[in-house]
Amino acid sequence: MAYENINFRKANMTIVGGYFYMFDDNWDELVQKLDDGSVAFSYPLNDLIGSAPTSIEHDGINFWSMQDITGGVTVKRWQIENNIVELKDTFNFTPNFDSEAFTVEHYHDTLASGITAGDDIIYLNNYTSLVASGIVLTLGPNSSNQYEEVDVNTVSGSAVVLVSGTQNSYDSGNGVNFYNHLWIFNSDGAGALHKINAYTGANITTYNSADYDDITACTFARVKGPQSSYVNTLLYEKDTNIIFLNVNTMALYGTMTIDNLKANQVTQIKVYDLAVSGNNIYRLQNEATYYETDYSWGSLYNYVLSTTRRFVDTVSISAYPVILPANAVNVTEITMLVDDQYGDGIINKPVFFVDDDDVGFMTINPAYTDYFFGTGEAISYYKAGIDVRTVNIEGTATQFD
Amino acid sequence: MATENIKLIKSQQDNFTVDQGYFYTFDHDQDSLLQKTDDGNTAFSYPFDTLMANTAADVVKSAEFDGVYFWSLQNKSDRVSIKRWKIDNYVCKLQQTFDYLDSDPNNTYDSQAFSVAHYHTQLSTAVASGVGTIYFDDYWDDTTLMNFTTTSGDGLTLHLGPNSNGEEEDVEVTGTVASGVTISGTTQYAYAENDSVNFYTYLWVFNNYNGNSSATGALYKFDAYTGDYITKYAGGAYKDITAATFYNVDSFASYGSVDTLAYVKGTNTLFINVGAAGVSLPYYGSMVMENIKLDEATVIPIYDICMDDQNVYRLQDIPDGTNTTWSTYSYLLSSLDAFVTSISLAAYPAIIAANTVATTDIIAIVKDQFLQPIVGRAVNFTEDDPVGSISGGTPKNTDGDGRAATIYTSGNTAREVKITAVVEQT
Repeated sequence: MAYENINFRKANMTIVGGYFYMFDDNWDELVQKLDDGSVAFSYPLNDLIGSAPTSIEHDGINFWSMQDITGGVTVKRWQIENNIVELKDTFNFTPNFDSEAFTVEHYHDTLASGITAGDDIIYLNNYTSLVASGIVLTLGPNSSNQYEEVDVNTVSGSAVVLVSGTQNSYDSGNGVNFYNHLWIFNSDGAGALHKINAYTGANITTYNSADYDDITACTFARVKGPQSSYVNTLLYEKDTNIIFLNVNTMALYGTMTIDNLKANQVTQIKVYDLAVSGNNIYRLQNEATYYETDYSWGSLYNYVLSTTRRFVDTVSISAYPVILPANAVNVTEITMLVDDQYGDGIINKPVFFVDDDDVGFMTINPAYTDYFFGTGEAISYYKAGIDVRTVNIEGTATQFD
Repeated sequence: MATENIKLIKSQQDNFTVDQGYFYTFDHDQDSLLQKTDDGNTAFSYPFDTLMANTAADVVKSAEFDGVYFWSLQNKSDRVSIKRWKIDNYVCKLQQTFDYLDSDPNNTYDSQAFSVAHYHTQLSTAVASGVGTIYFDDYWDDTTLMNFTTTSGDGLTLHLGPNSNGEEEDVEVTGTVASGVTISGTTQYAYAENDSVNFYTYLWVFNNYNGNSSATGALYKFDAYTGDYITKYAGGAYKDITAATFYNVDSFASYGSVDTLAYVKGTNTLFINVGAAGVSLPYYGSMVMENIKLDEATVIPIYDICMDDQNVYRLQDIPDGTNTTWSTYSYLLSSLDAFVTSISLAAYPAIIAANTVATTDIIAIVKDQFLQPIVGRAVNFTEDDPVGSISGGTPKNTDGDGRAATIYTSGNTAREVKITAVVEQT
């Protein structure tokens, strides 16, 4: 077997700090694995999980799992404490829930100013507008590697007022993590995406759309790629695309094509879970296609990579006109359309043309893709030869960054 | 692949413990405690003075040695039975039996693993016969241990000796003094400085029921002198445990040398602080092992565990990293000494252009078996592309978090490049 890596027994995955995590209901453990499939560590579950999660997430502090239950799904929040995984919350969603994918909206901020133990007002650098009463902030680590959870009372301007003073002192720049919403894709009916209070499990809004039907993999991450700057986005896999959703506006940051098709270019490969680390997107699959060859991993699951970083993904070449006299005089315009995985035109990349006629030739070689308008077009011209024949012209776009 | 060593008979010798290089196993069929050498030979055997029944349910599932006594656990159809034994005059003599019956209306018992909390020290000064105060090196200032009282109201029993004449005795602690304890009555024999002082306190039994509920397991604490129930700690982490022992471990820098209840859950051994107060018991740490089959996904069962010096012996019938099943049980080794155990390797970005120009950051994280970072160790990076190269330098030292970083520059062929990081244990 080839291209195996993590060799997961269960179809759920998240990534933390370069390690791959999986909930195993047979072992009743959270298993921490390496890229080569070996076990780096494992954490027993102090509450038996019962069945394999269909999706898991990590919000920077907590692990989250979703499992099927009768008539719906259950979402659980877990924390590693003292080498054991402790169950913190359980939310059941029934009836009329049929889901394989969920995520938790979470943010990673830093303190704008230092605080002393006992302070009950803190200031954040970036996400104060998303903080509200009832949210729990996890502060730390500080220089003594201490963490603590604090409850938000109110937000007044840029000041976040806590229910009670902090236990420890923290420096400016120390971490602040929090989560606010669960997002659950529901395939019951024609498809829906539920926005749920992650502290109470109460449904806030349901967005009905076929776009949210039959979703099997999603996650929430801060990425750069679909936009020119970093965005916090709910990304989910739909058919052969990963879609980047702005959860504040429900508009899309972008859509990215992925290579989850078998070698026949027809049969779609199921993606069971998604995780993001840096600019890498890890897709959990039990089969994959590498260089036009299909591979199946049987009962085991491995990751297949995509990247948020823009790169040359597709090229399309055309000639206008496509028929011209073989008189060594006439020319045809050759247009090479070079797109990245988001379907956007690649900017200012060289395209090298090759033709197979003994006399005919390309007049501009290489030609560069459009610099100003993002069309991805590189234009050159072919001057006809003297033999009547079909001429093959190939264009190669090269990414130098 | 590891080879068979002690070769314990399945369904007959499903237990073992170790003492001074010898492995001991209770054999209910032979009605003997067998002393085995590393190569599987029987060095000696000690017949039981009290026979065990000879059914499949009578097999001893777990054995422990506390420095003086051997202990056995049997998981019978209607009870869990724990017995204390002592080798005396070439015979393994039954000292005490504690039966935990399923007919108990408040508890259902189903256990494969237990241990006895036991402690070892030496006399700090010689002891004459007929004295009422003895002094020893460790534990005299541990008031929790020295004030241990059985459910019958008796004080802690110290086992003194053997002395140079092979004499030994039990004395009961009545109070503490600086560097020692007072005892009930006086010593019968004289002992030299550094002669052994051993004692035990509680039995710790991993039960697959919490009371009568099988929703989670529970760790039961019993008085090891009376067998009486003290308390229990519920938790899924205590369910389906098949191997446990009690040992003094110095693998956790922040704790120093600690007496800990160690048990196996999945691929890890967890070390419980049984001396802590509270509704749950904290852990000193956890240690990953290699009891995974060839598929890197299936856990190999561990039937018993024991420790000697820095060695951890795991009783298995499948060697680590294989699918081979032995016809007998043998031990596999782990170590309590920290060593390089895992290297996490990642590339950011993991997809780059094959143009001989594009680069990616390669990050290796090196941890030991306790998931603690390996600091200041050289990591050698290699790659398998004919044109691509490790351009960021190699070797690179790990930092305080166990991280070592370099850079890979791409080749000119679209392919999966394999980058390998190697750390030498020095």
